[in-house]
Amino acid sequence: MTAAGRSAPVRRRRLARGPVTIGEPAAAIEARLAAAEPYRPDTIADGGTAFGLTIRAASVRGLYKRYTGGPRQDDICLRSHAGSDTLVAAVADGVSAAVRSDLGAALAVRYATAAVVRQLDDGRGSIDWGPVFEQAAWALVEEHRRASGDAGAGVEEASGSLATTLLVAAVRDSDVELAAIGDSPAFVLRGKDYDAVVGEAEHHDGLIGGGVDALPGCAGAAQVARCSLEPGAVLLLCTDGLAMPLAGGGGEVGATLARELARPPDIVDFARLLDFSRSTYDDDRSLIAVWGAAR
Amino acid sequence: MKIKLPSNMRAAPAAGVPDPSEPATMPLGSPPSAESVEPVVPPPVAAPGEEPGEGASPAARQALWAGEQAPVGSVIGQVLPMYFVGDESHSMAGEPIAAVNQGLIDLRDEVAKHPLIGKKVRFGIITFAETAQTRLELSELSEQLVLPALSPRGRGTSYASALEALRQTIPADVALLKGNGYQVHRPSVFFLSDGLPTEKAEKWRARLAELKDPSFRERPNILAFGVGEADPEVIAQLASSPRYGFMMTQGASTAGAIAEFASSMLNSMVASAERLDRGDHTIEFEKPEGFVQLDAPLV
Repeated sequence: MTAAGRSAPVRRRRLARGPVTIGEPAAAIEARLAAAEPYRPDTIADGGTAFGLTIRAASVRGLYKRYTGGPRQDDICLRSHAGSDTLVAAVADGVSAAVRSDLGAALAVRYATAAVVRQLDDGRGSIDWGPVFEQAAWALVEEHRRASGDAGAGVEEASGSLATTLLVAAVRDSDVELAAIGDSPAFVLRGKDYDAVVGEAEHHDGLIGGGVDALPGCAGAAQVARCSLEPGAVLLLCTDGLAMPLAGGGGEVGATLARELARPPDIVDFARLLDFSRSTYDDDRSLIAVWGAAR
Repeated sequence: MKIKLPSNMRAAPAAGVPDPSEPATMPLGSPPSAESVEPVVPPPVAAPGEEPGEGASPAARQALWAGEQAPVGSVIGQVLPMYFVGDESHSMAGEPIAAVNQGLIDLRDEVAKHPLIGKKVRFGIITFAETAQTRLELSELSEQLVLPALSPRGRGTSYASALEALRQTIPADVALLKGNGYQVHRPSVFFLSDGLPTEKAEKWRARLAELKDPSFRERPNILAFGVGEADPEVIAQLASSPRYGFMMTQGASTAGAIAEFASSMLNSMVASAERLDRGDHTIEFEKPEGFVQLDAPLV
């Protein structure tokens, strides 16, 4: 706990905009540069328009990992498929017990979106999710074999080092196909209401906990769903670092996001919004927001 | 790209204290007169041990949070309840009980000075001899928290009373936390004893079964530690998972083992609170020095 004495950076007035604070803020601390191989930036932000859809995406390192110098274990990926006017988006949340889950999340989102794009290339009408998750899982096993030098290593060994949740969506016009393994949920935001579509953690006994499904071990256990993205609705794909404080959307976090996402913010402001400060919520957060095509 | 400010996000006056009627967030775009208007920046919250930042007088910080009452039924944070259940029977007299007290003080001080963990953990102390006593209600571990000084009392060692106290306390504590707007993680219990229960085995086993009953929604993770004359078989039964039973190595000093136990309890608290969001149902814990893990099948 040597870093306890580090203080927050002083904001220059001309640049000062302050943390986006929702409720009681978390402690302000100077972030420690992440020690990770390969390189893991603290924050990534992306976005743009495609096929009439407007997309904003960001992944921010949690306060706890900023404090300890751990890498961001969430990741996101966006792909557009021009032949079918389809946006493909994925978020993943590396399981912290797995030692290189930051890399697991990075591989999973890239291989899964690539697998969806290959199906679109083949002219498939709807996505066959089984092979998408199998190919993402296989990428994790292959990486584990390469890194460990153990050519016989399997799913169990790879789970120990690269385990990650994975949520993938394919958006074509107002039609959304999704599939998820683990507790990274998708919602459709309509006004102030968050309609859960897939992946939300269930807590039968009212307490948090109960384990999480993850790749590569649970590749066959995907929840599949379909929903409609009518004009004015916003598709939200996120990790539990956001879903936990969002808590179904009925509180302050839900109200704030609903207000700020009523229309697409600037890309960097979107990342700042996601990086809101709220006491006790210090996990990595990722969010991909997709605004439907206007009619 | 310039963002058009929503109508409900006008620029606030120069003072760093937002109007309570304003939304809790910062405006995301600079108002047109940004150069002439003091930006509305909430003062950074100093890490424990730091002086508050410029302009962050205690009054201002207090006011910053004023008027931000969470809506009814809204979630305001997440917490992990942890209980220390310690033996206060006569056999603990002297160095062992002193080691427990020092361990609890160190635990409080370390957690209190951590900028992130302190808010996420709630800690309670229950002790037992002939009877069980709640010595510390579930509390946030701050530097100001006054800890009870444990001292040997009574003649007996009633595990049943300690287990019964947990069965009563935990659901009430969880309900209170939830009522205050917290998301509550599965509680953990650190059970430490230096001797054998002085009651009939059926009695404490019945209480243990109630505590571990799968239909008991708030059933805790139980980590059990035996020192001194404790029976490894009994300790193994108390633990909620075979991996959570630990016995002091033979011939080791009881006080030294207790110090190691306390240090491991702190590490577990930090590691578990770090991974709160993950959804794991296990508690993070590493075997303390001077203990053996009792997960081998007991013959």
